[in-house]
Amino acid sequence: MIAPLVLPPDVLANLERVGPADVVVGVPPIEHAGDLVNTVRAIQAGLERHLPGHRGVIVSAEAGPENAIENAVGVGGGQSFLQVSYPLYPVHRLAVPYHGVPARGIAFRTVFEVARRLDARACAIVEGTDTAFSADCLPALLSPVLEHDYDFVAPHYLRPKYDGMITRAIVYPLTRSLYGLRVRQLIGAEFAFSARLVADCLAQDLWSSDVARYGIDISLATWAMAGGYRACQASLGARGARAFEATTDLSTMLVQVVGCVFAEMMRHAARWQKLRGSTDVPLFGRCAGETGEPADINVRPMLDAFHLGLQALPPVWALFVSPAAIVDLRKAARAPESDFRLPDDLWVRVVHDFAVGYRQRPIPREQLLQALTPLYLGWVASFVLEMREADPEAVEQRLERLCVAFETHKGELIARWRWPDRFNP
Amino acid sequence: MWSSLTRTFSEAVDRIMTAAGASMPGALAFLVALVAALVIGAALRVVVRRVLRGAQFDNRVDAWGFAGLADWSPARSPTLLVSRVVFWVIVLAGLAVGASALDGGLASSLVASVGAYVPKVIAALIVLAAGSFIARFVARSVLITAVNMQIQSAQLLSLGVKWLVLVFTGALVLDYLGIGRELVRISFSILIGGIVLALALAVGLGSKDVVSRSWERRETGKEQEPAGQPFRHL
Repeated sequence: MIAPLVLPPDVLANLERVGPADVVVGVPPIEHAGDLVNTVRAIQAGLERHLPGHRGVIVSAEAGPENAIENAVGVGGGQSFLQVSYPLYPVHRLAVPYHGVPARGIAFRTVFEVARRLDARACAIVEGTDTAFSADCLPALLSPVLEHDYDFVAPHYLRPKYDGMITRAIVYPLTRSLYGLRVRQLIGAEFAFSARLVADCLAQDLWSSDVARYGIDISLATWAMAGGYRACQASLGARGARAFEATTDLSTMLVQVVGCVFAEMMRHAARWQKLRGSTDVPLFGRCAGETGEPADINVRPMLDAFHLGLQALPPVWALFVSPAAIVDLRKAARAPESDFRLPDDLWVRVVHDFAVGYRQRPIPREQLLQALTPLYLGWVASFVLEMREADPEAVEQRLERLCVAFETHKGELIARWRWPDRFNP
Repeated sequence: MWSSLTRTFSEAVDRIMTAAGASMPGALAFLVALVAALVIGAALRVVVRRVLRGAQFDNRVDAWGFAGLADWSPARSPTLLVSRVVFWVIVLAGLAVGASALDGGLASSLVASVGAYVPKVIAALIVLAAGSFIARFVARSVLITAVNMQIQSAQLLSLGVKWLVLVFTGALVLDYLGIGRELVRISFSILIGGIVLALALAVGLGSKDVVSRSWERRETGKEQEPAGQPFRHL
């Protein structure tokens, strides 16, 4: 049983004053007060314009001492605005998480606790970015919970064809094959949850681990998908300009993101081993947005990184990657640059080997995940070379083929997961 | 004259025969102890090897996080290492028992001096094992980080770091055991100097492009775009 989150007395008094609400929209810490004001105003406008019959409370969860910006926000009408501070410990400042928000897990938990105490039917999380959240996207996020009884709403963004490569290469195909739901974005800036899911999450120990510190969004999304909750997606237009890449070091990003996915895989092992195939999840709303022209990518540095990895890291990979996969990687590396491809089957085997290795821990997990970097860059180079002339539809079809490969090889993953001793690299 | 000579000769033979007769039981006891130790040691080696193989000791050692032990073992098998250690401990014990039978005083002084040295040897072995573990951990960490930073001499760098730690550990152990102190210190200084020079050359040659780009950026004040990655990973 997890210890309940204790809110400060002044916050409890404010909650008493505000009274029950239909909707709670939480805004985790935003670096610049101006962005926070814009985001809160956008949410306020969205609530008033699109959900006029619902009483909403906007909660700004701030790390450390409160910032008195209530007057600047100037929320009025049927909406209330609360600022809740949560404690920030030195450990939260030591490592920069990929999303740049210190102790984001505690921020989410604080918002959830407020939503629970206000008996809110729906709780949304909206993180401000340079391009403030569009008010028109709020119904897409909240109406599935309020009107269609969905428990979890994940964001769905319009993205250029080379954007979000970790999501495309690993997170989406792997989680789709594991949990059987085609939820495109487990990592995002906007989510919505039902009261039932909020209460269940608060009762679980999801909040104290490294996963909560780095990837609470992955953790909550996985909990909803693996727990059999009704899940859907909200079309939110183009993704914010600088959302979620506070750290530019790729290997750190891989350690945090893929580490969270693998950690959740361990937590829900009993569940995903029973599931086969995958099903679509409904998409609500249709927020407009421009993805922009895809950037012209020079694959040479990525291929250099891949070749250097192949030259130096096989002794490390050999501790958890199958010898056949390493041989196939060497074969792939011998192709000329323009013909370089990492076959889907090989990539799936490599990702599965890393997942089982993460569980077995033949070397420290951080080192294991860092050793994935050259292979990931090899996959990105292969994808870019293959999709250079492709239109968005062809890119989608290519991604679908990769996802099907992950689903096809799931049986082998289960066997490896259950009987790892049979595999002796 | 002749009778005197024969008496002296027979007395000498008597003394030798008496001395030989007195030491014979001890020599026989030494031989018996040695043979018994060899037989018991060989038998125990077989038993230990079978038991450890049955318990999949090699895999368990890996699982317990002592994968490095395999590199120090004959045929990369910690099972073989343990069984051989058991064999030689028994043989050495047999030798000590035999030596005690030959000369009680010699054996007791030998046992006393070995007994005083054993705790030092155990502590040195622990330091050696820890050094080996740290060397492998740091070398692997350096290798992966250097590859991710695209430093061409990543392997050389990792090897250098590994030997730096191993040489330091070796010098620490020898110094602790009191073996060739001055020689060890001088050799250690030369080796460390050589390894540091090699590392400096490796880093300098391997990352000269990185450093020049960094200086160029600093001079021109331009922010560098991530090479080959004008897109977001998440």
